[in-house]
Amino acid sequence: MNKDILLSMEDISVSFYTHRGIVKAVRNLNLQIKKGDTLALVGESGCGKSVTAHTINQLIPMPPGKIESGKVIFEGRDLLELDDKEIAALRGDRISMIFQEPMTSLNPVFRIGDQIADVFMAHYNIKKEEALEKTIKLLEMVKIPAPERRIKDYPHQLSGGMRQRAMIAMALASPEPGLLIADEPTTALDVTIQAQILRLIYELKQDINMSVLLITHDMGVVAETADRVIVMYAGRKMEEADVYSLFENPSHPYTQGLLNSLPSNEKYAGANRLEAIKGTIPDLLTIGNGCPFENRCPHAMPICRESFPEETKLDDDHSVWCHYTGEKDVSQSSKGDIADQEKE
Amino acid sequence: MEKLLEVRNLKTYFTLKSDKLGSKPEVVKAVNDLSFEVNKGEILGIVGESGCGKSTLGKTILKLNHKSGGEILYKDSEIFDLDDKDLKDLRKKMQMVFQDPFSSLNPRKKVGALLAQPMKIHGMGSKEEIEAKIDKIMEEVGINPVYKGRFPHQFSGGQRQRIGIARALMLDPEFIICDEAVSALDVSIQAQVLNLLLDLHDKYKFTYIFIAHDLAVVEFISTRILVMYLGKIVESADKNELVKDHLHPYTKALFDAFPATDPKGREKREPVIMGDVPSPINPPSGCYFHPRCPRAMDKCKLEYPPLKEVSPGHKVACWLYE
Repeated sequence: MNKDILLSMEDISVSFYTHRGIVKAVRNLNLQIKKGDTLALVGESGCGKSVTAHTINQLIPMPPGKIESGKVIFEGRDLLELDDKEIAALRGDRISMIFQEPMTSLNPVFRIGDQIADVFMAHYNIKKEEALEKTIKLLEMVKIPAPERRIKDYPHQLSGGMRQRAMIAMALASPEPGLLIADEPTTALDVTIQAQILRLIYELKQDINMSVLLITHDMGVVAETADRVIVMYAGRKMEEADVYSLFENPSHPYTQGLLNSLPSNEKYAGANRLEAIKGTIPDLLTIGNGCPFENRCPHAMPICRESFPEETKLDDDHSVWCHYTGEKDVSQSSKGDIADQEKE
Repeated sequence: MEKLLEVRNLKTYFTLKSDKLGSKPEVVKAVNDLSFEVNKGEILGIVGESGCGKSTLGKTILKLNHKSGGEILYKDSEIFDLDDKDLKDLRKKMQMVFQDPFSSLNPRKKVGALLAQPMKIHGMGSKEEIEAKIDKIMEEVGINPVYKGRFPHQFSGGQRQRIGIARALMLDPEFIICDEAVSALDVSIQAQVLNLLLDLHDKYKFTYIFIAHDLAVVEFISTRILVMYLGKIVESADKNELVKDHLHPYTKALFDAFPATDPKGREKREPVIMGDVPSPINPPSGCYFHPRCPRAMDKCKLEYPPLKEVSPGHKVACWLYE
């Protein structure tokens, strides 16, 4: 196994057993994160991107959730075989996580400084004063102004952007941050603040050689921060590539549709309609063994219903899972096609 | 062009309860002295970050909020002066589509009943006429009328937003305010709903005010754009003009901060403005944007700049363009 690989997930399938049936949230997923890289998992709601992240540090509620198969290899150990104590030791130490809404992840009745200092005290054998000193240095690193005063603030006294910075600081408060899982870290933030936070994550990654697993629905965020990208849809990996290759040559009909759905796409200068993907995301309860995008795909063929395609390597760094091999351009076929979305 | 709505020096203030005995109550100037016009058939986009007052403005225009000063003239009559009967008549013409399709539809009513409600309230049409209209409108927004016996939770987010739009259409309005109408939707669904809104605009010649925080969405759908910051209009221009030639440093920051859908050249991108949006309770002195502005001058700290027309139809409130 390659030494540069920090985390690898092999053939992960996760289901949720609900009273309505079995929801297959993630199916046969493989991914690898290299040291110092940012891997983005991108997709729409229900595609399984958050479930994938939660599988890593075992935040999947079980039951109803169940990891059906697979391994999560992190630094030579399969995380799925560790006991609660061992996984708890990894959380916040080698694997940290930041969430979409920092207000709900910070404890509202403790001062910011104390909360971050706690993390230091848990990982190092140090006294409170020393931990607070380290906290101030860390807050400086995530560019919170006047950190010596800010450590005395409660979470509600900080703005949304500041809170997310504090969360990032907390994620870094360990001897050697390994993997940062960022689950929609900027979705709740205003766009000017989002740009600052993305910049911060980008710079920190450069400075301290941290790996990032970025979960997002926003192709713009992917383009700004990721090194590699996995496009997910209804629990499946549809396309994987390095970021430049993905945006230059999006090859899965779904990836193309996703990029075409963005009003900021350059080709819409002067246009008055978007090329929307027709239809809606399938119900994960009733999904079959075929390609889940089949009902919305402009190139769907009979085989797409029957089996999920094997990997097609376009080049060393770019793979796609699709039966269709012709000229992959959906731009004409799906134009203005919104009315038949009900006819599933 | 025919003027449909005119807003003159509109102010909406909210007084906060003071938490200390004897201290002065604090006032949030959510909409602070705004003037603009909406022409018939136009799609006016209003864009700004959270707390800039864009939603308060939309609600005040429909008299869903109080106003603290100024005028809102719809076809030259002041909305706040109308008596109940006239206001009810006017409400038929003005509709709103809300952000959250989950909380804006009554979960205990079937879709058919939800859509029938507006016509019943206004005493329009017989039972059969209402049913026929529901079928027609549901068809129009892309939902099969056979589903009108279903409850809202049986639909996906995008379909619910279509139902919200259908409800706004039931009374044949001429003016629709969309408040973050596509913000809660996945991008592939968002694109469908944007197309639907544009189709309806072409067909019925509606006038829209489209309020959103997402610059790309506003830029795509609007014909004219207002940029708001802390209760004030900082810049307004025709869409194409604004995209090509945005003048206000805040507008520029918004455009710069918007993530590009192309990773090329991202290392070289200019860093974005630092700092947070100040609290609207105690906005900074002078121009509200000056603490974050890379081009702030001494004058900016003292006096708020007037909204000045710099070229036909293009207004900007910034001392750089005096």
